[in-house]
Amino acid sequence: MRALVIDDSRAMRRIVGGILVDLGFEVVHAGDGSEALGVLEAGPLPDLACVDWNMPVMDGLTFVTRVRDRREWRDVTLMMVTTESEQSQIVRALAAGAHEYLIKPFTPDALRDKLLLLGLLPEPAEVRA
Amino acid sequence: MSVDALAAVTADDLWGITGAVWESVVRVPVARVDHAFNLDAALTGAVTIRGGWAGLVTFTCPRPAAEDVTRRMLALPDGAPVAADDVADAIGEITNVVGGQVKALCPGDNRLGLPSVATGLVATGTLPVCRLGVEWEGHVARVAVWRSATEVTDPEGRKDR
Repeated sequence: MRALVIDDSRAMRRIVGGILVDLGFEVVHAGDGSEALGVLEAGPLPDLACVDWNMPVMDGLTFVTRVRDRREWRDVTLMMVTTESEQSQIVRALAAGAHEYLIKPFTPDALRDKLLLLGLLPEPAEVRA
Repeated sequence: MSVDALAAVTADDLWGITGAVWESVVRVPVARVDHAFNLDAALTGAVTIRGGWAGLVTFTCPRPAAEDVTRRMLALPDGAPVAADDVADAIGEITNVVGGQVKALCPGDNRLGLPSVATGLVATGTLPVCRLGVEWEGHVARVAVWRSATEVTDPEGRKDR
């Protein structure tokens, strides 16, 4: 699995990317939505993009909208990872085409649970007595 | 501004937010303290909230504390050198995450600005709403929420009306 982490904070890219690497993802980074579009153009396409909302140059909501406008990118799973936590913002992002929404601050377990919901991680094996 | 708006965020709210940020972003145990209010020559991260409620969220700490936070966020070893840009990035991101959670508690439809980081203490043109100190492994920092008096001025002096 390949993931694109889009955040204007290098520290946050390191944190999100580190969790994803621990979960087995190959991770690439972008510092804003415009740079991330360039990553998609260059390929190969990621399976997952973790998208911050508030970024300079191009914000995350605009990025999601641009990705959803391109049929050839429809298989990229988009997850907002943002400090925007109001219900109205979540609805806006999902309406624009985001598949999931994770609010900062979050724990590694919360990110893993979202990826399980999205089918991007194998279900944990059942523990048998 | 109504009384409800003034009381939108309490120090207890701020502690709940800051503790959660510390647990997930800085990843070190943190305690609430009441002595982190004399931070000369500190760095301040600031982010504006504008809309139905106008104000500012700030995160202030001495440079050694800011460097410690940066090392933890970047998973660098103790004592490793950190670049000034990385320190500003880390302090800005903490301010941003705290600010986003504070925004959710404020009345009305609000927007969060992009964080800025500068040397110095308190923005002018604002009145305190609440503040608290945090302490971890010998370091202290202050987190504060300010409401606009008539306008909001960030630590670099830019004004948002």
